[in-house]
Amino acid sequence: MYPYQLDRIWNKLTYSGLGVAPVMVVSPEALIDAVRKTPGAIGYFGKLNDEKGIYVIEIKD
Amino acid sequence: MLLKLKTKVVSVYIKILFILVSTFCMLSTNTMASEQDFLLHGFISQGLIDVDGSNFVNDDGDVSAELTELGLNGSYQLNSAFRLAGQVVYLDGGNRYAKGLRIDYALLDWSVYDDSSWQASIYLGRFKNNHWLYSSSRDIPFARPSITLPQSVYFDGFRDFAVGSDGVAIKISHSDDDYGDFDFNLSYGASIVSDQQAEMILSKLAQGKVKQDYSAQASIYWQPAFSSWRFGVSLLDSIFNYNAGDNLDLFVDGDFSFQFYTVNALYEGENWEFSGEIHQTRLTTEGFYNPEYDKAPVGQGFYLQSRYKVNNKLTLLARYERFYNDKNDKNGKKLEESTGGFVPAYFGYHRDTAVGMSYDLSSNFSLRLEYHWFQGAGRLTPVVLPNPQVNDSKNWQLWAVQLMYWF
Repeated sequence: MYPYQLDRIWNKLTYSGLGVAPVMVVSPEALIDAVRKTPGAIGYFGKLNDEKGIYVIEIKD
Repeated sequence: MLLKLKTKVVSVYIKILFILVSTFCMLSTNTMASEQDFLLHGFISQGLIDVDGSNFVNDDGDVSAELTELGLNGSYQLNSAFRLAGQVVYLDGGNRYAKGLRIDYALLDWSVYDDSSWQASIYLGRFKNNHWLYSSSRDIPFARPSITLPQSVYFDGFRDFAVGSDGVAIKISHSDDDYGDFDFNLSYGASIVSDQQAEMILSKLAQGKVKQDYSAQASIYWQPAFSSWRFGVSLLDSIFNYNAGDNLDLFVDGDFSFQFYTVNALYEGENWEFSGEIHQTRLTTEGFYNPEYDKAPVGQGFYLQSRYKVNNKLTLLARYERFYNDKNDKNGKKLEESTGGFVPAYFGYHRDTAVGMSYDLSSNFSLRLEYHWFQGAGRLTPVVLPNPQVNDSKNWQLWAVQLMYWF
């Protein structure tokens, strides 16, 4: 799947009433902060310095 | 739904993790955070459209600014299972559909069941038609593939009947590691047809009211595991009727039954995209023209569309479409004969060759251009009492340009 396909899925959900698109954040720090504060949230990131308050699963390509 | 999408996001990010990770971050949530309970989105778009040789947009043939689409929507998460959502749109498309403000959807979204491979949602209220490739995004300028959609499927004249319904819709999604992703959609409800829209379909001479009794729809979509292809089938059955006006109405009471079947396919690759829908319609009319009238022509059509992403800003489009109202009168000759020559044969069909381009000025600001070569007047309004005086040529052309912004 390509990024443009994700945009299409989110747009379809957002503007047709079918659902809610995920929250977008602007930096890796904001992502970690948002995951920490949101129950059940999942985020994907490259490098992690502070693992406090979050659970980490490593994905290797 | 969200879980399913999240699963897809995971597979994407495993593949492209190292390319995108520093520039693009995403947070997917299962239960909404409190500050995200209320969400507001919208879009603004304005264009110019010029049609030469038909009344598709206006009767005088001048360049028109009647290409305005505005929308504002809100979504409020009541708790983990219930959500309220609604959208108001303002549309101006000239002769294409009724101009004005309308409630596009207003619904209660109930997430009935949700686990790692099955999700089920029920939508109560006014919901959008989610059964065809572009039916739920036909009014969303940046979410549809072109400024005007293939008229054989997304006929602007039938917009009010097709855009959605007041009733109940069910969506069931299933993800299977071996067989891929499945979506099942069911809906039952009725649409409100405005007097202005009824006049566009029928003619100014019709004094009565059009009312839809019900529209029942079902569709299945299947995306094989790890495939760029998706396939779908949809079925529609609806009943509507015409109650003649008191005195000088040219028409009498009538009952209509409309069935519509589509088969579609979509391929989304890195640069190339292909899509198409094949469809068949059956419109049974009892009465209306005269009390003894009883006919059920079967119409058929298809379109094939390709888009090519030149780069991350520029996308090119090419599309070909064919449609005829009656499979026993593909060239419209019988129509011409049956009306004593009043309605020319080219009113029996519709063909469109279209090219276009889309340029993304930013991630939420886009410019679109397109050109169409049409043959036939089979998808021009009014449908019931055609207007050969204005639509006096078999061949007609359209160009349009549209700027769109969304948030």
